[in-house]
Amino acid sequence: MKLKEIISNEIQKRVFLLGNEAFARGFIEGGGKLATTYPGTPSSEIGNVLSKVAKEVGFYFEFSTNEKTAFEVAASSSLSGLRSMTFFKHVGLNVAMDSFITSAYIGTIGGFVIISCDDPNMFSSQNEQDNRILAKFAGLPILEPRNPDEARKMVKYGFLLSEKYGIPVFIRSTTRLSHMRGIVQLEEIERVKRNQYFNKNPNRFVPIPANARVLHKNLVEKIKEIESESEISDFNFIIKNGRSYGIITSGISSNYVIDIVIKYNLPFDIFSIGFSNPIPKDKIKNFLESYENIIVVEELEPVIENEVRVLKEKNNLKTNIFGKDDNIFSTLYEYNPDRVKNYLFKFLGKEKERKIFKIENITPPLRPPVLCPGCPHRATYYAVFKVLRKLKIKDAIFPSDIGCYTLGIGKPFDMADTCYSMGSSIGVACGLSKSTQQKVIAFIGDSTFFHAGIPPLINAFYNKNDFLLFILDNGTTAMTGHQPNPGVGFDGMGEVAPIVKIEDLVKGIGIKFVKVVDPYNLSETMNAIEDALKQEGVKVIIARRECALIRDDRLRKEGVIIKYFINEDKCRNCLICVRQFSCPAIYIENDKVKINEVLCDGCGVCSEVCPFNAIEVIK
Amino acid sequence: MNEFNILIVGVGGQGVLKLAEMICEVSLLENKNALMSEIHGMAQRGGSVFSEVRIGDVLSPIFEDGEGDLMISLEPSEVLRYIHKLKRNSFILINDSEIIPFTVSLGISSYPKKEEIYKSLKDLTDKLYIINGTKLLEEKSIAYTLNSFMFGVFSYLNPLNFSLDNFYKVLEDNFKGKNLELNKISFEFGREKIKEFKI
Ligand code: SF4
Ligand code: SF4
Repeated sequence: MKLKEIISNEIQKRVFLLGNEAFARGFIEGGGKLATTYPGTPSSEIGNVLSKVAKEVGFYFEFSTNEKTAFEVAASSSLSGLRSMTFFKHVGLNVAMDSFITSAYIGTIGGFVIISCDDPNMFSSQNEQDNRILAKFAGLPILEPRNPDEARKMVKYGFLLSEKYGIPVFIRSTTRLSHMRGIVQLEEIERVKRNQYFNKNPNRFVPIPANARVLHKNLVEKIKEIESESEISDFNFIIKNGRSYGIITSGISSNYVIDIVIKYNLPFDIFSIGFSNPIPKDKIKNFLESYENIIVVEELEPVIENEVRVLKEKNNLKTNIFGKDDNIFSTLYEYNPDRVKNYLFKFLGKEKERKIFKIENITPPLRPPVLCPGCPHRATYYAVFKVLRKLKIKDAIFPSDIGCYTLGIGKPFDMADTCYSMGSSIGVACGLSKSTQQKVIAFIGDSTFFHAGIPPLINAFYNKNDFLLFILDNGTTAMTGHQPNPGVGFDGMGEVAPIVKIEDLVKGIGIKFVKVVDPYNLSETMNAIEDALKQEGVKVIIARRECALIRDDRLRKEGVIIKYFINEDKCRNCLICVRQFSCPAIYIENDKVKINEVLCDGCGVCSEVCPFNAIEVIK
Repeated sequence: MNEFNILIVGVGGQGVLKLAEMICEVSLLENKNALMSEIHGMAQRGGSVFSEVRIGDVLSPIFEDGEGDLMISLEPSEVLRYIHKLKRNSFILINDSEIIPFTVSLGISSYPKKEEIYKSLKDLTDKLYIINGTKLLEEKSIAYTLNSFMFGVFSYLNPLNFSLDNFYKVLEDNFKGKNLELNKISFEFGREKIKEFKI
């Protein structure tokens, strides 16, 4: 993270930024005064940057408890006249949806930009929903940046457009854009002092039915007016060489199309769209009229394509339009240069050269993501496994949730049976404990619990459910890069913050069985589980131990380095540490169990797992 | 279209992204356009990680299969996973130190014999360089500077004829104080050692 460059005042300076860093720069250049988020890949780095520079640059930033809250904080700040921004991963918009739709009616005073980071191909997500559909559903203008520099520009432009029309502006990123680096050319940072005052206007800000009817009509009129902006926008451009076919493409896919068409000298003119709702109808109509055949290339859903088809119908054009409906382009997964090339070659009936470099017969080992060496979740899963085996419970069900611990799905634990969305472990546990006789043990992380776990836990208590809930409290939002949450004692501005104690919160609901254990202490954890499983009702065990990566940092600073090794004289090759516990630092070489010293984190849990006390500290 | 495509691969936690970023930064100092793509989030947890780097007048941060000019693999078996991205006779630099995944210990997959990997690579390129940076650095207790070591190896092979000064500038931009010193040592060590390790 090049914080100095991101906040630099050197105009014209060329810096090499991540798409997400460029969004942050755009916010700063555009005079943004308040930003909010709930972290989630692929959006997280925007917040990581803003959190670190907020004080120095002079704006407010927060990690909110969830996306709905984040949305409301930013939306209302816009009503007070401040340029505001909220951002999250695509599924975060589902959480914010309720206020999102209505905020399109209520509109904005200060510029309000919403960035949705979609995840085509699901690199880090449970689905690949295309949020352009949701933004259109809400009736908002949509911008789709192609590269980091445009990410920066579009945030600034978004503020202006939002202020001019009093409407939130939606920027749609994707993983590839958020996580690509490219050259960004810095522009001046705006330092206009804006009026910060909430001027009451209940007819506009309180959509009781009588007001809402007016507001909806206004919204429809605004978006109609904004068509003229899209029509003249530089974000929509045509590359024309008088070729036989046309391609209409948008956002990140434009890059693949342009590169491939140039490299293989293919006969396409290209209309690249960056301002995609409302689409520039006149420009597109003219483009359609110039060709007999047009292909629409956009990742995921046929959002632009459908509009183009409607335009064709309305204008009685003869142009043939190819896209998803013709199975030329898929609605699945991320596009890339290969896919675009294959599709275009197929369309042209051209043979593609195969020159792929291959090694037959030797394959790399499977290397799925795993819980880190020393991860406290592994210890918790192991404890659950041991107790269930002792009590001869074979068919327990494990509702899981969103976080590093979802990796409990893998061998050897197989302890993630369901996962819908943030907080769903608890709602699912309610359902399963009512609908089956099986034991239900649910897992949720601290941050996820604060985000969406509290209402379902109240539901569980109120509706007299029977299950054990593990709140895996590692004192951070680990998977997304260790952002703080209400349980950790500091906030998004880097300031000391009050701590919400999970055990007090749970007890406050009225739940009687609440135990806090240290998962590194296996016997303590196992005893708590055994006690819990003997009782009826909702039981909560809080497994509290800092994330191993945070512990690493802390120990390194303290100058403590602990490593374990296998004492060969004591090891009897039972392989329990390998097969049942599976810390990634432990491996077998020439039939002997070993610990990789570089990877070992010194948590010592394996030494509790070993029945022969063969795992010892390196002195 | 002039383009040079690089693939950096390894295992989560090895510093793949930092190395890719440093190579891009040298290109920028050389006034060449650079693009890079990264993987974050779930895949980073000890899984296989890769980053694509493109230098030249292109727009897409990722390149087609069979178009890679150079690969740096921080782990021997990871070469296999991405070999389809390379051109014939491209540069392949390997850090010869295995990280055995737990799937191998559990018996659900197996780790190929290194000699066999290298043998088949030799049939595909004569620009194969194999060096155990991890081990060499461990002797100096600076194994965590592996990416600067490989940065040094890259600067020695220097397929794009970048000036050595710019490599140093990038090190200076990326590290401070004592850390800079150690990373420079590692960088120079990589430059020096690679001379002995061409296969
Ligand atoms: S980042 Fe922390 S919580 Fe996530 S797997 Fe690693 S140790 Fe566990
Ligand atoms: S002490 Fe044991 S369990 Fe902990 S990280 Fe080291 S090898 Fe893994």
